Amino acid sequence: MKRLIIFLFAICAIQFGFSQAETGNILIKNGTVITITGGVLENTDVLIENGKIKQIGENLKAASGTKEVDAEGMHVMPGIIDAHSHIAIDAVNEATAPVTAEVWVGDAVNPFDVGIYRALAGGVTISHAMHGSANAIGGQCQTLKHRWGVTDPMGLHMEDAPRTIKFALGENPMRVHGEGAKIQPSTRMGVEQVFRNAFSEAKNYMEAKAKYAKMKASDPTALPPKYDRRMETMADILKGDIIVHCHSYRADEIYMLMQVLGDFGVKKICFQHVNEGFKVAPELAEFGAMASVFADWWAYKFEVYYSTAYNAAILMENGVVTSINSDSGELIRHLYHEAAKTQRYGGLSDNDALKLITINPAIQLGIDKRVGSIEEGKEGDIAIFKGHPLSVYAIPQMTIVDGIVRFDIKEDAPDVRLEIDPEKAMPSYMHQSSHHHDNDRCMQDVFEFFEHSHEH
Amino acid sequence: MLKQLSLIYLMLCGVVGMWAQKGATITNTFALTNVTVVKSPGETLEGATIIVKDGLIKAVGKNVKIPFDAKQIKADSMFVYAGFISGASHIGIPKVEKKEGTGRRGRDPDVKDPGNPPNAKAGIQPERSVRDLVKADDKSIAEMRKLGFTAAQVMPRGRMLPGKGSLLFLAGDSGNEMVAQEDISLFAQLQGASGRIYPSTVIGVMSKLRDLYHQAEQAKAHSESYGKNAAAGMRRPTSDPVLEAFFPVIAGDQNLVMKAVNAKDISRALALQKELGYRLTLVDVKQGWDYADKLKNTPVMLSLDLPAAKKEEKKKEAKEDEDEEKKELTIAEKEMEALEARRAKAMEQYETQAAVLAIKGVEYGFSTLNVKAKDIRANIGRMIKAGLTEEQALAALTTIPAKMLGIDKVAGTVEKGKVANLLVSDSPYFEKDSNVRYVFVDGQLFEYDAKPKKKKKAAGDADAPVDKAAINKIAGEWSYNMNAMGQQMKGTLTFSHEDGSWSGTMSDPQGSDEAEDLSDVEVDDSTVTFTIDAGGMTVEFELDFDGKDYQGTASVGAMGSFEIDGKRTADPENE
Repeated sequence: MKRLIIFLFAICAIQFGFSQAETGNILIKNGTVITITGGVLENTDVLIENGKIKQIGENLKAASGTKEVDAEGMHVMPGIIDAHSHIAIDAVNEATAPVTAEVWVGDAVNPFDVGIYRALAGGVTISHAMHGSANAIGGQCQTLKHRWGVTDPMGLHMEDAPRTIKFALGENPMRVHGEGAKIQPSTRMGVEQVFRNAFSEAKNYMEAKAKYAKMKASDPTALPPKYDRRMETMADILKGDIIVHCHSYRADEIYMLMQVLGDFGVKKICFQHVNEGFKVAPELAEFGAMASVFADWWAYKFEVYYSTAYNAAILMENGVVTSINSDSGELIRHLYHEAAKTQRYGGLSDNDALKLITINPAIQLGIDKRVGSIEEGKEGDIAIFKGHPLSVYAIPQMTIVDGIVRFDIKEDAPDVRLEIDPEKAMPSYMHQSSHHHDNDRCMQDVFEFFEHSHEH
Repeated sequence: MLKQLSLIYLMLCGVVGMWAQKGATITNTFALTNVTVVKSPGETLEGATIIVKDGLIKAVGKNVKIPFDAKQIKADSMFVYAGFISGASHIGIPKVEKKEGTGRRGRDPDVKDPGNPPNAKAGIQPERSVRDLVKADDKSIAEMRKLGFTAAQVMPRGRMLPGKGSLLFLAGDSGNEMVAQEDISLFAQLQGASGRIYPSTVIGVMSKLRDLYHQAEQAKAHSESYGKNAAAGMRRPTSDPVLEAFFPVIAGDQNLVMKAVNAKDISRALALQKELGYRLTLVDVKQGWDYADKLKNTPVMLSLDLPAAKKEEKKKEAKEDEDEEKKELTIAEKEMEALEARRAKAMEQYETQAAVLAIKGVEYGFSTLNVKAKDIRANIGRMIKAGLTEEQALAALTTIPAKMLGIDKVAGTVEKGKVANLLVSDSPYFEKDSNVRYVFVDGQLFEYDAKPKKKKKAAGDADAPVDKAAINKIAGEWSYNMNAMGQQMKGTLTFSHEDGSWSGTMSDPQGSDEAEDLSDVEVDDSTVTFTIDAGGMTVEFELDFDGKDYQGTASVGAMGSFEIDGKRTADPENE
């Protein structure tokens, strides 16, 4: 008998395993489809097959057995994309050196973080899991698909999403390394020099590698430069294989980094936070730099006082590809509200406001050919809302990733955790991570963390 | 393989020779008569005789002649098994004394550049060998031997790359005597350095492993090429023991043994292996249930540690009986009930891991890196209760680890010609009240008494037996020292015991008069666990008491843990 129970247990586990990383089929009927790139379509069906949007139209038929969702009276929009998040990772900062380009948060994905489910409950299907801002050149980031229920950390990686890396300007790297470890950078000038030194070193490294590649055929005594993952990564930035995402506030520093990148021929840059972006919006547009901002969040440290809620609208009006991000396990649940604030502050159209949390962050992550709008051939990432998503009364109903329903408000169990510690008597799962630091983890794992700073 | 075997034999001869020289024992020939021999899992021979001579099993069978010089061991109707093999352990390796940095904000003053610390500080010591680290008189050796463990793959303690693993026999007066096969694997853990230096996080560790591995590949290629091209003017390779430690792994002669306790670590270890291509062994696995398919192709040792079973169950049952017709549950109570059910389910996952993986066809041994010796037999019992068969359990303790460690020709079964590593119990080993009575390690005999049957407690006893020893050991006043994220905190801890339950206080580290009450104080022998609420965050403490001192850790959820220690300042009697 006991063996039988175990056997059933094993079988269940196998079946669960099967359902994990698969893609799904689903037919969403009669919704108001906000495509973002092709207008708003009333009474329209969206058919997803094998995780991809197969067809958009009226009275679509799906193969028998396909799950159907009645979206009559609902708004169907592309899954929301958060270009700046720290949910679902076990390590945020390798804060021990001012340059740690070699580390990669993709190594530290935590599929058990209930924050993923909370994000899904806000219609968010993709987040950009970023390294923190302790170092001038932090680690590489990872674009995640919110496949809640998949327990293999690597199963959350968005396959073949372009590589991205975190840079940081200003007070955070200065305090951690200058003040904390008494090494460069202790000033904003020092931060610039850290970038220049790292890029120069990488150029030397590339040259040495190229020289070795040329010589090794004819000279058996030739030796390659010592393998250096940090320099390999910096070289990949120089080659244009990695998109830079830079933590920034002040206009002078934003301008400085554009100068540095220009000097080294690096083109792909998305500034994060960019609170003073409105001061240099034309310059950003000219450089082709992008911006991912908060809707209305500032004054949490000295360099972030000069800010405006019109920032997103001004940047957008100037032709900068702009998104609104969360950087928070709480804000990520209502990015649609954050986007709506740009209508109060800046009068953006519905579609422009929604671009801030769909196609624009997709562009910033280099995944706009695959997600960010409802188009045939794109991936089946969908958020279904009761009420218009920009309405203050909007309530997310269902969130679909690769054609699989990962959140359904009708089946919203009281306890959704995937992992329980049998030794811990948790007073309530609601309190699991309620302490306030959870909302802002940009400086997580930084030792100065306890010295009461509120960091982004 | 052949070379390895002959090496083992050579070492055996050496050990036996030394043993004979000691002259303290009259004979090194033993006869166990009329025993039930479990020759290998599932293969039993009753009424048999076993002859052990010069460290080897000379005969196993029914009509065996007993040599004249044999010491006859009265083992009538006892059970003989192959000595257990721990697939990975720290047996004999003393715990490292943890020192936090004494410099500014907890930094180590010896580390000039925290981003580029000396290897030893960073936990990068793959060149270390167990032979030099093992302490033959460490109490863990006797503890494990008493449970029937006779051999183990022993790993140095440390952080990211603590050193090489060696196969040890668990008897001998020195590391040299115990080592059966030196440096058989390279041990790695996804654990960052302490004291705020690189690599401090899992992302740093994984990156550093890649760096070192590729650099070692280069260094190996260079040293090989140098043999051919030195005359042509090739630069001389510089010797680097850290990189050289990787050479046998790169060559495929050694496995990289990665500690992978939880599901995430398993996934990370497998991803790194796929990327770098070495041969991998996973050890101390506790959450492998979703990874059966992948574990089929990877040698794996499951942890013999399990989450602590709840103790207060009996108490609760009694209470429920009392007020059967209770009022309707409040929402909070319902929530607690659902939570308890989920906890029970989670516990089941841990307890059934071994059974589930066996059913799915995963072969595994057991490892003991992180389990207290006193819990091992109970934990095996819990796994068996959860569906693991006794045969599977025995295989995971004997034949499978022998095969995975490449010693199945000489160990793992009770057969003529194998090393005399045996355990003898007075009833079948996996029965609850069985006692290990004899253990042979390498032909050396260890004898144990049967433990007296526990007396049933008289009716009317208090639910919780009063553990006088624990009260003497723990109750009273203690100092504490913590280094949390660079802040030194000091103060006083108190523990008191009343009516079967423990309580305590912790003084404010800033030195004010306020003291925080401790919650969930539990005392288990010399281990005390409790939590405190620090401004909305729960800090969990686990302290190990040893006489007048204690050491332990405090952990704060995902933010990690820090060390705490202290000394006794007063005990109740002296007040």
